[in-house]
Amino acid sequence: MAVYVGDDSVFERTVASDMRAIWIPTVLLVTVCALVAVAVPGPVRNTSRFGRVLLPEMIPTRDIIYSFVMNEDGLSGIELSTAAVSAPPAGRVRFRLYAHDRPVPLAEGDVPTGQLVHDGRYVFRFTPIADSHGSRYLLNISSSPGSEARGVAFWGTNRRLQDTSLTIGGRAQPTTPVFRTIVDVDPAAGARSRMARWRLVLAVGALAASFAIAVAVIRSLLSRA
Amino acid sequence: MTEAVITSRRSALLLIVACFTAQTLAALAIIPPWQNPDEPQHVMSVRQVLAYGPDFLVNVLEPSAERDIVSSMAQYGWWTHYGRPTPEPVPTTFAAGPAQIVREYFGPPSGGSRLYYRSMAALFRATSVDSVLPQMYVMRILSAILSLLLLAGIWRGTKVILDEFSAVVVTAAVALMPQFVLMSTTAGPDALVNLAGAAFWWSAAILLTEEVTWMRLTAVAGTAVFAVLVRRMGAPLLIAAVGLIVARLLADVRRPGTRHRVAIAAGAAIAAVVVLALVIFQVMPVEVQRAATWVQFDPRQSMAGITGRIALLQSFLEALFTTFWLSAGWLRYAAPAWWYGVPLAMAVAAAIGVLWFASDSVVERRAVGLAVVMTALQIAAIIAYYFGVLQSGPQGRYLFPAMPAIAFLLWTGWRRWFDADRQRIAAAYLIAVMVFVNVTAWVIVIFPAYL
Repeated sequence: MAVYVGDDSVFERTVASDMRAIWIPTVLLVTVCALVAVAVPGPVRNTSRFGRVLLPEMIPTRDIIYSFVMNEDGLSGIELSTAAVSAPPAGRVRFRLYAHDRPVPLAEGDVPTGQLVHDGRYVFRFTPIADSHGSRYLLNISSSPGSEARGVAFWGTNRRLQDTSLTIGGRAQPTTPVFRTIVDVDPAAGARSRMARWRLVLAVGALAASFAIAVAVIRSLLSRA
Repeated sequence: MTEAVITSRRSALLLIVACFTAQTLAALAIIPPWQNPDEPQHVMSVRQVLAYGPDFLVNVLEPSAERDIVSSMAQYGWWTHYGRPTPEPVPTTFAAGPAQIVREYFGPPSGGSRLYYRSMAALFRATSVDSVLPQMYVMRILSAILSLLLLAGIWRGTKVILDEFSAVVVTAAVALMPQFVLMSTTAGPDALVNLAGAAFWWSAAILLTEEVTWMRLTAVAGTAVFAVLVRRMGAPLLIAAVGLIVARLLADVRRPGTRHRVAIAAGAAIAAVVVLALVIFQVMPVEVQRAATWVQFDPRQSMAGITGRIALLQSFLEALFTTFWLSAGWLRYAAPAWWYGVPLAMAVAAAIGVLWFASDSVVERRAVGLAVVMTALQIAAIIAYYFGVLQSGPQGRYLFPAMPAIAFLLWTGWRRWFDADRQRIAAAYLIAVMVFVNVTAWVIVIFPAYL
């Protein structure tokens, strides 16, 4: 920092150095803030190719319960990565989606295991949930009553996604299923989304301007006038 | 030095205004409707005046306005921000809707002056703004404009006491304070009483530094009276005004040769205040009565409440401090604990600076005394009423009428740690810390809450 030693030229050099020391990190900070802030939310997903592990085989006593927080409106499907672990797969698998605080499922599906493992992935589709943004959901995957599922498993990864949890057969797992959420946006929701984006751009632009001005205020304080 | 360097301190005020305006724009763009404290109740109060006149009853609400506000709250995720599902069907009343979440009365304030609501109703009537959402945004924008005037008041007051350089620092510190930015875009009367606080600061600064005249005395008394008439959290300013005027008159009376002039000034000021009071009472007797009734409480009840809950006082004061610096939404979105350590360290350094290092300037010493009294009175009033009587939690915004004094103490205490020839560095450090506090508040708390 500058120390005024009585010589104007020394003072001006040191003050200029001060200003650079403030400008550079501030510009970096503002840039980082802007980049973080304008990151447009995409689907909640875990599609990493690294660290994949096969979750335990689906059997009647081993329900899979996966909890996640949705980051967009219009949740309409969940895609999972599947594998056949014994031949031939048999029985059926039941999917149920719950809002975390409601006991009645929002959506249900019952699928033959053969269809589930057909091309290594399965999309559980349901009626779009208009206001899904910010809500927590539980996906319950179990063997269908009366038609025991055998020979099918889901892929997961060793890393645990933020705001998610996975229990298999009642035991918490340090893993996350390989999955991604699917969103169907109706025209009204699309308009809201565009509006939200413009508001975001305005907010970030205004803040970036505000920080740049704050730095200019600091510069004016350091100046001798 | 580059040409781009701003050479005029005065232009720094424009920069501060621009900085603050940019932040208010960001807040207006990003904070959803009804997310600032008590916005539904304030808009409802204005609608009540429009529907039933200024003497409306709080238990007879205009049904269409109430339904529209609750519906709009549902549309903009008010329940979601409380971590609750939006009820289906959406309730049509406050009692069936938000009151079930906050678990207390939810509606227009049951007492206090309605001057602000009457003014807003007159504005909406004149401009034909008749939907709840546009009305709320007009109220928000008006609060932002009043807050810009507040910054000007802080600037002028601090410049009178210290100098233009210090005025830049104090005003910039206020403009960068995150909770102040949020409250400056809130649809409600807070910005008006905060502006009264800044006007009081300015007039008090002039009274401290210049000769006593009847106009200066009247200005101090008048701004304090206006603050009380607008909102009860302006009441401590009235006590500060009385204390300041008495202290100033006593000091001047003791000085040889000034007694006669001071007596004339005091007499004229008393006459002016009496005339002013009579005019106010004549024009709006009900508002005066409402304001006077609203600030009254039983000191014994307050003391009993304080002594009975003394073990909770520390957490009450902690909450007062944290919500003073940042608490977005309806106290729902706070910063992480470490974040509050930054303003706490700054406040502690400033407090030590004020207590430890004596100031050379008589004017500054007097101003520090005034600022300490203003701050202490505001805190004492909050403890006496909210902790002692209501036995509820505090909100830092109740301190904002004393904001100029608090920011002044922050700067004057902080700068005493630095030599006289390093004041620029002291200022740069303080504002840099405030920039950090501001940036992190947006990035860590406000953006994640509302994006």
